Amino acid sequence: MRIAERAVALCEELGAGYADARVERTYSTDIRLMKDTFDQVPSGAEQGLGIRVLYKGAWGFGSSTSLEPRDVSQTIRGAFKAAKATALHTQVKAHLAEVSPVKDVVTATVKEPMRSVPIDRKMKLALETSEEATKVDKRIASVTVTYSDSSGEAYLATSEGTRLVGRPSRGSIVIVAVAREGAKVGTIRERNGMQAGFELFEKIDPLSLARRAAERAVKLLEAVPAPSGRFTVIADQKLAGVFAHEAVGHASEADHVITGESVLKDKIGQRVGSDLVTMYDDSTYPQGWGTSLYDSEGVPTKKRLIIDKGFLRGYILNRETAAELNMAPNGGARAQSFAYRPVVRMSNTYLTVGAQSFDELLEAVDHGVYLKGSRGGQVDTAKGTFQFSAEEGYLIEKGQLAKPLSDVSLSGMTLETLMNIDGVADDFQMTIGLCGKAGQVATTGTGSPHIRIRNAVVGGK
Amino acid sequence: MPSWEGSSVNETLDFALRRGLKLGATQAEVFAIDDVGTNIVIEKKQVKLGQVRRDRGMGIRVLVKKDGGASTGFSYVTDFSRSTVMEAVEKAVTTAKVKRADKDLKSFQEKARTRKAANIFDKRIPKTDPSGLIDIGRSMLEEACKDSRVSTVSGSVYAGFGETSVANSLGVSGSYRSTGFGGYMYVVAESGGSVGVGSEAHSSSHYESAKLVVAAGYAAETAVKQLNPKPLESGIYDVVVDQDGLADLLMNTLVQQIRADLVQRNQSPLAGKIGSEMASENVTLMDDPSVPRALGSKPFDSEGCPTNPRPIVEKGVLRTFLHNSYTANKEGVENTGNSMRYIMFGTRSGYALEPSIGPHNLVLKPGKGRREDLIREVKNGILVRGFIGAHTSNVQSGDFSLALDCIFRIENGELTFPVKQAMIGGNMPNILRQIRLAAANSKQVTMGPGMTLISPTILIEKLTVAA
Repeated sequence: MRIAERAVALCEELGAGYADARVERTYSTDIRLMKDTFDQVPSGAEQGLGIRVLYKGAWGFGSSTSLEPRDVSQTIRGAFKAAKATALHTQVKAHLAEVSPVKDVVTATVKEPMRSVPIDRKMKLALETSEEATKVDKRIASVTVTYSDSSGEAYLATSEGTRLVGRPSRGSIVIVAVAREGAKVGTIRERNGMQAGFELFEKIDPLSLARRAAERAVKLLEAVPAPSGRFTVIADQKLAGVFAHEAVGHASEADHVITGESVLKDKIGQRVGSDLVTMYDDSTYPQGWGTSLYDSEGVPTKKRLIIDKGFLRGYILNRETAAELNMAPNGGARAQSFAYRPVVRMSNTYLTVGAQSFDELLEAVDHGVYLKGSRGGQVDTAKGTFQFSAEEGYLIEKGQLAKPLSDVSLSGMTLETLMNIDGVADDFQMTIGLCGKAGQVATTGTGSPHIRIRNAVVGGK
Repeated sequence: MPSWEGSSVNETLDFALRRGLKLGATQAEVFAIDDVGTNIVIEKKQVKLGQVRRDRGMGIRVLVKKDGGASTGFSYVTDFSRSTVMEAVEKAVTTAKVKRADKDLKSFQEKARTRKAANIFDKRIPKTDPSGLIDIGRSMLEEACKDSRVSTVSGSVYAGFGETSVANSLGVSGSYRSTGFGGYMYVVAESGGSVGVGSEAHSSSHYESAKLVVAAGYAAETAVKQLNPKPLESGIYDVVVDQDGLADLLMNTLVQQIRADLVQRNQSPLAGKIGSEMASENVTLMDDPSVPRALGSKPFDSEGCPTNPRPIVEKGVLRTFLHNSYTANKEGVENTGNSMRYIMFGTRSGYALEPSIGPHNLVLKPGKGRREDLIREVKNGILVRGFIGAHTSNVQSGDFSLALDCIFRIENGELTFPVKQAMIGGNMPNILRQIRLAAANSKQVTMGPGMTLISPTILIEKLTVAA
């Protein structure tokens, strides 16, 4: 904290209107295993400082992985010079919405600290996970397991007096299982993670994730090409969560709203979805992958109501966009690490639980498609269009799941799709993800129950 | 100034090596980077932000010999304190001990004589400050905004300098300094409901501010020329491809196919093809780490192996694959010095990565005449500046299906109109057989971190284009 406090003090001495400094130290372990062979196993110990300076409405930013006093001072002076030089030429001045300074210490709930666990135990966990997937079926051709953990310390000091100490800890496991039979190939990814100590791996149970990935991959070998056209679709928790994040969540980020790259611009208070649609971006979700009590600007975070029973109620805001839109800041600024500027980001984005069972959703479908999981896709938040490839699909015939489908995708207009949601199940589930924006990666949670969408566009190959 | 003013990098390097050997490693290696960069960001026709970045770190690799072969372990640190480095080395050694022996893993890089580095350090760059870059950015903006139809301009200007060091327990020990300079401009023009987009980048190891301004003007000119596009009929066309598009396509296909690691894993269609004809005789492709002012030039690779210019494809015939110490030892061939630390997607500092394989500066031999002369050769064709989705190419088969970016119609040697949307499908390396001509307008474009393509505009004959 001393380095962060001194950095902010130096900025003020130089004449900055506002400054914040983040100093972090992060220990990480990544283990990548391909079948039974360890591919790459890097361990990292990173430290550094990020300094943000506001001078006459212009930003300067500096970062340094060296914390030696001379290097720190040079970085701060560089950031200040950058802000000062920019201020001479920028016409649009940045302002920050007012917040009360906070002082707090936030420590992740940890039973077994990540750093106290020897690396060979972590490698053994990855190996056992891989073996569990491999032995499910002879047709499992390859399994890739990626184990990751990180923990450390983070300090934030602002010129307004905020002082935050964080002791984060998180871990995750990703399993990709590939089944092969003749020319047919089925690929499935399962992953889970939590913010906790090494004990989290008991809770998320990598072995059952591994089995599920392998079983689903084998099942894909029976799949037939998907039909194309408009269908009633049931999306599983993962695909619906990805839809909530990619199509709706990004459009609710205030920076996109301001630049006009959002289909939700100027729609606060208006109906954007059916009565059944309620969506939050929730930084407070217990131990969630995107959870934090304070954001990267030191603003207390919230459970942000984005859509309430179909009506748009809010955006995700940092201090600058809150000031520009004249809204109350809600702690939506996140930075990948000290080396990056905080930008408006999602945390845990989810559609809320409904009242029907999955079977009830299914029963009402005479002819439709059930889509599970996501292989990614494309979204245009400005136009409000999306296209996602599902991992698996099934035909639905007379309220029953029929044959499995391969290479199936879901596409459409975001707002039309939200209006066409006519069923929401009671089986809410969260999953973890990584979100890329502005050259930075953020850990995000996405969640949803099963949802049913009328008249959705399904694409086959 | 970074490390070479007698700071702790060299000592730390030494300490890590000794510590590794003491803990039971057979060999140890460190790879360190110390970089200082300044950049400015231009958004909505104005300079929005200035940034400075100091990135210093070290990757430590150890090799442990055991029954049936050897294993490696890897750690990286940005904190050079003794306790952190000690813990990192311990983790690397433990990892190497736990891993199963790899019978093909023999040794890290042996000591060898390195040649003198090409001129890749411009002493003006360490003296550049944010306000200097802002001045360049403003000149670029002025150049880009000359036409009233230009509606949005964004871009950036960058200057950086640093030192790269490699040392290992076999006696390899060296470092070199380099600088980098560059920027890009992205321009949108609007007129009567039509939108045209143009972008252009320039990069070099040297301070070439005037070329950045020219690039900005070219981006604007392209954006305006892209206004009011017309559809194209599907069919077979001769396709003129500019350097940026070619770099993107090659990086995601051919560059991966000539990597010895992927060849050895049988993931390249070029496996077993050394000495055979794989491209038209007009194609001569060198990997040349000695080009002055090129961002891929370096005296030795990321394991300390000396680099040398060498032909990859000579008059259409495949001459060599790119090796690092592991793949060369495995096959018992000469190490080509192509160990590089990078990942295809995302950004990560080189010191945080284990060695992979890549080219330094891929140089496609230029032909004769100007770009206009090349276009004049084309009766029925299109000019393409970029590809969208090149990363979705299938490296193993070489098949690609790409949307084209920034297209112009060529009719009887003249650019006649901008084209709306079109796609091409093809296969790399097969498409190299259809290269008929190259102009003499060689230009350096960045292909990846520490990798460039130096190439002229080329003409590929008879491609199937879908509208």
